[in-house]
Amino acid sequence: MSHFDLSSLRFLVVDDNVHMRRIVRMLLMSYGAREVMDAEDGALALEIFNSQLPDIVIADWSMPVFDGLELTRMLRNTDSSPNAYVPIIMMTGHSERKRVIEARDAGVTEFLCKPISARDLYVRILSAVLKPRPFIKTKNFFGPDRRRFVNPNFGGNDRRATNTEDDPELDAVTEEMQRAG
Amino acid sequence: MSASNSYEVIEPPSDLRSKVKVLTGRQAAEFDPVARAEQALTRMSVSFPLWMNEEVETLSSTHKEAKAAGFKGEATENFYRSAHNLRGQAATMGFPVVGNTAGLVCELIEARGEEELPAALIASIIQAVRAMVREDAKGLSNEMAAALFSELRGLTASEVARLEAAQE
Repeated sequence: MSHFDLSSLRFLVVDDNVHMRRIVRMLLMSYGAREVMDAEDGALALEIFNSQLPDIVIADWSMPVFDGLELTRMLRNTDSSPNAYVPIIMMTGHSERKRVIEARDAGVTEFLCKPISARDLYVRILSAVLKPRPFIKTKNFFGPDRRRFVNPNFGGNDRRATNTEDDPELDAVTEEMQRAG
Repeated sequence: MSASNSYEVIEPPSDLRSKVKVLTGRQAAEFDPVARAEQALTRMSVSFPLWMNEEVETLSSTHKEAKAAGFKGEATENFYRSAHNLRGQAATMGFPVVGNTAGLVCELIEARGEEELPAALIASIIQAVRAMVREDAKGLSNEMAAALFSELRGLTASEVARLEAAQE
């Protein structure tokens, strides 16, 4: 797998659990990130998002007050959000198909099932950054093109492999970036 | 931007690819972000037993509050959330069997509909979670944890089937 300098990316981690926030922050810093903001609930996350404009949001689904799904809908609101196109990686202990579809329909960019690993989170970040999808706007939906959303429980051959060592699309993007310097 | 009658396709105005660089040569050889993160996770793991104890205390106290509230309302939502947190993060903290056992509480609450929850079974699950963490039982290689989980999983499956049938 190619290695990337992620030091210029600014992250916002949203999880009501202090231990998960610590773990995710530590993983991001280990990848080279220098700026990691965090919030313990959706309301604080929205406040930080509006004032600090992070590049990527990593949010837990299950939170008090308003959850990760509601947060996603607010961030994707083109009337009120300062960046409705921000990549959103949803972390969750829910892996059922209906939950994945619900997250996709709210406008989540990537879905990350817990337990999370150093590799899985890194791969989701690279996928969100290196393979940006066009956004689709309909009467009832605004978010990344849902046709490329991957079910984490899918058992067949996966075009967007979870292991980037086997992902020709990501390799092609990497080569292009290397040529561009 | 392209559009049809029913939808628009919009290219995001900002491209984060301009903010990341592919590492090459010596830089790439010396910096493996995933390996570095895994090493950091290993260093952090000395705190995991303590954190797991804190999570189990939260589960126990939210359980007491939910039980006192007749497993209804906000107290039960908090109880569900603490079990769900444990289900999601116990494996990352090296205690997968604890996560799986706590997840049984989630299965029961998700299946309940308007039915009464099996309070005795829930109490047994909480006791099992406490015992596993106290005994540092991390996975199914621990015989006590394997036996407890297997027994509780079977009982939970029966209760979930009963709860679902009652709603039909």
